[in-house]
Amino acid sequence: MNNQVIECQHIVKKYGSKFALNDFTVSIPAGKVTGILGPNGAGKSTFFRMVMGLVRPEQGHMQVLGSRPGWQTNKDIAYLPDRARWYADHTVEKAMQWAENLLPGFNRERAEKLADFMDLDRSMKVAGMSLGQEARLMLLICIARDVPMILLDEPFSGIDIVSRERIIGTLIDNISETEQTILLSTHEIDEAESLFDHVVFMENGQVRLTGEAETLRAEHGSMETLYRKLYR
Amino acid sequence: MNEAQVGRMRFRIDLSQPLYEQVLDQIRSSIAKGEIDLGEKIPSVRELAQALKINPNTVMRAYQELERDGLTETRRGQGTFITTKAEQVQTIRQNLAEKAIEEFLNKMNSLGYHLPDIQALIEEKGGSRR
Amino acid sequence: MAQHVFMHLVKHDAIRRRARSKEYSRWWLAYPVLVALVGIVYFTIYVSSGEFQPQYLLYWTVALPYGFFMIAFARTHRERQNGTFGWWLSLPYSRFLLVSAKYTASVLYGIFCVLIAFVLTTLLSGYASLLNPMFGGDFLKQFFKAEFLWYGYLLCFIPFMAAYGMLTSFVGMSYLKPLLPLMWIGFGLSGNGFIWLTTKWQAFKEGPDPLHFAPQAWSWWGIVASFVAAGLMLAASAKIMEKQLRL
Repeated sequence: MNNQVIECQHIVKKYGSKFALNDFTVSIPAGKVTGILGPNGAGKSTFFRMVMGLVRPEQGHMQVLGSRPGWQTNKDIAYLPDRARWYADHTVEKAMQWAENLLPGFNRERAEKLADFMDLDRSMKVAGMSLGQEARLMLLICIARDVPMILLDEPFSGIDIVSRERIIGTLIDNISETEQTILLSTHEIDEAESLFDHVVFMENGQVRLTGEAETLRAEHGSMETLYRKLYR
Repeated sequence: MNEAQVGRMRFRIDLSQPLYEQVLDQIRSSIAKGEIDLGEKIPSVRELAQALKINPNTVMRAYQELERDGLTETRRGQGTFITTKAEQVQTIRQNLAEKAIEEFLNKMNSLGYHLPDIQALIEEKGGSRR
Repeated sequence: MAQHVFMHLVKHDAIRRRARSKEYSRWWLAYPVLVALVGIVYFTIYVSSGEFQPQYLLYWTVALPYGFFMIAFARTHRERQNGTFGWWLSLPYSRFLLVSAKYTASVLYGIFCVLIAFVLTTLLSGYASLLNPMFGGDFLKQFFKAEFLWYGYLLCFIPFMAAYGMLTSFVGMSYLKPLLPLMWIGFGLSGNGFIWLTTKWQAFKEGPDPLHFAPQAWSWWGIVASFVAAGLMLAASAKIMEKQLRL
């Protein structure tokens, strides 16, 4: 049985003359937390968008949950886009209703519990929220879904420490309770690295290094140290 | 470095070493030192993961090994408990002690000390400790 | 299930209140009310002076087709601007469904605007007839009929202009962007479509004559063709959304 939720083989994607993904080959294991790491421009966001079928490769072969990526497979994926914002005219309550109506697998009960844990009052308006609160809301919308895979593109970017800790706490609960596959890209390696089962280091649209986090730790030290080593 | 006090156990997690080994070693160490009593309940996988801010799968791996060693037992619906068998704890203490001595001897050897000198030094230092 | 989703998407798009982080003071309402009062006073004076003709009330409506385009354009354009684009794009439904829902919301809003215009025109012409009996009685009845036909005809322009506005927005976000200037030129031309179709050739310089307006028989075929074109443009928008977006 194929235990890889995502398989990429020799994927190429260009924007003009610049390669976003250049002979990109990777396999993402099911049921684990995989960290997608790398500097700006490494191709992390392009990779995520490709998994969601929002961007198509020019060359290469790709399978997501056993099918070609596209809107049909997206019903099984919860995606937090990079630099995402939420609808400014919503309240927390309205956001949850939107998700309930439009996002398959949205678990209202779990969402309510998460909202309490994240300290988000139902009547709070999105327009009046801090970025950290907005980030917590968007993460909640993604995580409160009973779907096989969750993609989080830079969920910690620009977020205050308290919000980050809540998010990490939520993810830990999620990992305990479910068999979901989680893909997470981030710059805040030191905070998130203890969550990773598996890591993929990217650079210039290619995979530089990939493996089990614990194995890599034994060989190289912390993921942060390894990151510095790789991208000196 | 993640430090946390969980129940009666104190943990220090260093991210530059494999995490599962550290969790395993530190729990074994706590048991051997008697920081937790026989038959006492230890935190659930999720609780410990939350406290240490690490992936629950890592904690799970450590817990599974503890169970394999016979140091802990899981009771359905109640949680995970330290074994009530004193011999198990004794074995662990013994193992940890032997390991400590081995490390000590290695270190002394590298400084150029041999067994007779080591023994003499121990007598000297040990006497003031009693 | 898809129907259910469609309704929710339309609802979500149709009712977008402006985001306000604080409760605004009721005092702001004073301004529109003041303007309305001044407007009514001015209108009263104007009608009483004898210069006014009720058909003047309809002249400004020729700009509405431009509005229909802009409503649809803005709805799609805004989605990209305010950081929520990713959420919309990653919804697991066919692109055509997503596009149709936004389109429907735009069309509904256009209809709503026309209705408001109709109500306002009716009220004002009724008020004018009270001020000047010349505008009452039979004249008023005739005016209402003409007005009804006029606005009805205007409604027929919504599907085409809204679809065109949406398509233009998508073209601007896609690899087809070089076509954009052509789209805008087309916008300028088609926006005038309403004026052309309502103005008699002979009296072109004088502009539309709402009171004696009667659509030509052939223009109904044009309207039908515009509906078909709207459908095609909708499909084109969906296609662009699926394959051609520059992300």
